[in-house]
Amino acid sequence: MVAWWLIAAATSQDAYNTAMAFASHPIGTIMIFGWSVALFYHLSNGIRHLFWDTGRLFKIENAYRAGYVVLLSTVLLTAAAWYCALSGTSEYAPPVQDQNLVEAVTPKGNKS
Amino acid sequence: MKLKWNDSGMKSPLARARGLGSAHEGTEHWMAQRVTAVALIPLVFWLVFSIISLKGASHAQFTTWLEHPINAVMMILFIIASLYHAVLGAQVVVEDYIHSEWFKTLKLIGNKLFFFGLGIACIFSILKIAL
Repeated sequence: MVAWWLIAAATSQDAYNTAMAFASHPIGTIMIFGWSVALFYHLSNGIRHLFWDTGRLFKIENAYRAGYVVLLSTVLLTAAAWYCALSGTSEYAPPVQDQNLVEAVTPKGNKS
Repeated sequence: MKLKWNDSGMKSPLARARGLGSAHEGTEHWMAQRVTAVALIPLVFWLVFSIISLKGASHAQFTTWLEHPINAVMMILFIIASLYHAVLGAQVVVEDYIHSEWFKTLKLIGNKLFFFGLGIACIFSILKIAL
């Protein structure tokens, strides 16, 4: 999907618009959501594997505990990312008319 | 299962090992997988943050964003690290779970060609926009 996005942007404006329309379509959004869950799970569990590579967390109860930490961090990272994505902090979101709302929305920082 | 070293008169242990993974290339593969994994930790956070901040961007806004050297370089780094990591990971899956010799070879070659082609297409696209 990232590859499609990049290649479409380089190809033409129409191709880019098609890619963006797909991403904002419910099916495309569900696919991106699934991808984000898989990505964060892979990231968290990958870090667990890197700990194992250094010889840590090999006791069975620690391995289990790290497994639950992985699941928890997957949920938290996914939730944080989608909270940021859906709370309208994007500087590219359609222009907001109400000036008070603009000020309320813009200074928010990112968290990931 | 048909094994290649049973078919010929030559039955040296080297012929048995060659091409089956454990022929002086395992450590490099393993290390590259870890190095790309470590590199991808910050790159993934950068990518997710960037995608979120680019939500709803028009074509012009997106190309302007990608023209910035930091964004272009980070994107190329992400493409190289992630696709290299994907090649290595998919290779392990194929080596471990495909037991037909010819199909395994086909998948291993196809795996490398597919991700190499995808990577070149992505990097070309980034450079076309950024330069």
